[in-house]
Amino acid sequence: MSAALAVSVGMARSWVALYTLRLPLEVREARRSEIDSDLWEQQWLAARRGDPAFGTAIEVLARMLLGVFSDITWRAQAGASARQDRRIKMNASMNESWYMRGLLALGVVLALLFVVFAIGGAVDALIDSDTADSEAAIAVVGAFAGLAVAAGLLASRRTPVLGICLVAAGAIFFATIFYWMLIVGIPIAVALIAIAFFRARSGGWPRGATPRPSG
Amino acid sequence: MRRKAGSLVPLELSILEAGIELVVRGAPYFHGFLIAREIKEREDARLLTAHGTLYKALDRMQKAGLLESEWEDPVAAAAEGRPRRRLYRVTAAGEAALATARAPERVGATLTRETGPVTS
Repeated sequence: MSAALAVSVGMARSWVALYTLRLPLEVREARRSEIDSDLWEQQWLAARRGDPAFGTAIEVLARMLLGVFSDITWRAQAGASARQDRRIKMNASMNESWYMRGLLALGVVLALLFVVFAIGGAVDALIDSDTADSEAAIAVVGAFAGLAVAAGLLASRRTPVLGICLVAAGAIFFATIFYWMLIVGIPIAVALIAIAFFRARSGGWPRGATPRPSG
Repeated sequence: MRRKAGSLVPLELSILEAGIELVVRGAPYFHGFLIAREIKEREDARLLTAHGTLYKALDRMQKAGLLESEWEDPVAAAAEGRPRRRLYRVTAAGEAALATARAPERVGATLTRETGPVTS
């Protein structure tokens, strides 16, 4: 294969890889395989007929460039269709199982207890003149960590990555600042992250995963 | 401008015509590159149909039920040392759509033959 033909085939392949990014696996693979086959057939025919490689390279490039607008509009339609399918799947699995709802409620209550506990610590530090102001500040930040855990748990179904990150950050931060309770703090942090993770999974996360059936 | 529902654009007509002609010639299935080559030869075009235009049209026609497709057996393709093809076939709905689209042209041609071209 000549260098010019290799470059134009590579460009066509790269363009397909680019505009099919983040489409569902099945749609993405179908389009990529179809263009791969087309490019192969064109090169094979050109070689069999003894066509000049440079001319074939130009034709491959022209076919790619002239189809760019159609590729973009097809991508927009395929993306919209995939989002709609995903929404339908999510709605179908929106009825969470009773135990998942129970775990969520438990997690949120626990996170709110963190908040109350941290606010209590802050008030205590401010009243007690022997306690440094920095301790009060840490307790206030601890209250925000508790709120982050609660928000993350609630968000973990619709925005899984953000939800899990919020829960993880809040729970780890809380376990760290109240380090004298690590023996309890670490298992609770792990449990909260697990609740967020399984809640996200039940909503079809990561993309393409089948939503867990609700019980 | 949005086209009228059920109407076919020239490329879709070309695909259906070329697909049906291939059936007549004993090839019930066609793949993307083959149909692009057929259209180029039929229309005496300088270039093959662009990738994006061709595969978007094939996708749209399949969704409309004018074509159906299946992937070739990967083992058969590997035996020939090439990537597997997506094989298309014109459906009965596709044939009917082509006949409907071509009907006014046929009527027009018959009238022209019988009455002669309209001159002003």
